[in-house]
Amino acid sequence: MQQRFLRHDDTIIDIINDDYTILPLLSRFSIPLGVGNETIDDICRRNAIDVKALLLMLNYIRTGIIDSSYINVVSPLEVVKFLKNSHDYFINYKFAHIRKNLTAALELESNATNSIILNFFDTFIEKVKDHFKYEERKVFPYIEALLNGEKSTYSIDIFQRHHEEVGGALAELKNIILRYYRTTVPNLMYDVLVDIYNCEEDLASHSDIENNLLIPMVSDIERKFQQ
Amino acid sequence: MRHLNIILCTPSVIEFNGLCSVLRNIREMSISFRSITPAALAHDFMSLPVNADILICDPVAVSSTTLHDIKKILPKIKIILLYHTALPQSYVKEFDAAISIYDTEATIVQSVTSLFAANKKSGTASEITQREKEVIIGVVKGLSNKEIAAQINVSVNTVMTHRRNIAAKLEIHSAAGLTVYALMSNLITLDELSE
Repeated sequence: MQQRFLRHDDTIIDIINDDYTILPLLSRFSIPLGVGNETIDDICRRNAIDVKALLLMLNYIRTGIIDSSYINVVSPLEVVKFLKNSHDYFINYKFAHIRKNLTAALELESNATNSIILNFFDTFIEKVKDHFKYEERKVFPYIEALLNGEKSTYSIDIFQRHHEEVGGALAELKNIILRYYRTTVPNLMYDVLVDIYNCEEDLASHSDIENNLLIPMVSDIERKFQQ
Repeated sequence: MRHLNIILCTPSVIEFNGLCSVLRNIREMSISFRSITPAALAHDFMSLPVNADILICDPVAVSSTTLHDIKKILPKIKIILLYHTALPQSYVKEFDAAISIYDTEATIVQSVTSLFAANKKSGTASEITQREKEVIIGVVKGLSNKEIAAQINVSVNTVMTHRRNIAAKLEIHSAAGLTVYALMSNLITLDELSE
């Protein structure tokens, strides 16, 4: 079934019931739990969230459709705020969570490859951390400076050319476990796999937002400044 | 997975949502959709996002001149015509492809995907051959392609072909991933690895 386009007068609880995979996104939009019967509008007003930015990103993640009436009015800083929250979510919560469960699943059966698998996962985490760090030290400050009218030798084009997928290594790990890992006690490993699938999808939509919302938004601003 | 940025230029909400709905069913591709009004495109075709891969437009949206101008600033973009009635051949020929609103879903998908002849991987992944196993062991031990080639007595090009086939068969692309695979499938032991 195709996802519906969300509107500002939808109630949050209905949206969650409709598609619960939205849950891990809420905290990244700084929406706390305890949503009562509030609409998107209510909750955004109460928590000082830009409702247009929220709808632009949520609808894009859900449907792949970029609302062109919103992308021109939402500030890229709102997207940056979401991306920063996402970085924090992945690094401080999600990866640690997967690693804990992966360790527990591996420890159920002693196997020579256990430490190698864990190593592989740790290398992946380090790579993603570097990737995020670059964005936080270079790209996001550049966008802030650009909006303040400051000149810079950096341009979003540089980011676009160097922006690579980080989810690949995670897909590889999942693939290796799925196809070649053997265990007599698989339940915990199934959970880990589900988590990895979720995380992979989540990382993919994270980079979709960077590539297809943030980059065009910023290059549009660069273009206007040049004129 | 290949990502496509599709820009739809049509004054009709039915056409916009209909096309999104059909194209979202394309397999092995993730797609972003964005609309641009014919007026906006005519007024300033520079407002097209720089990362646009495909522009699908209604004939009311573009003249031949605009079409050429767009191609000039975005040389890689593919422009598809979405038409309802018979149009002069000379006009249709200017586009990279054309979709009729009466086309079937399969035809529409075909029109779009044919523009991006994705190197489709064959569905049946066969087993790893003995030669490929030897190459994997070499990679895992940290040997260069040249060293592997010398060891199994083939050319460097052949080693590279083997490596491509291995990546396709196993869907493992990194040396680190191959190491985990090689250990799990007993191609190599931990002791041999640390030698």
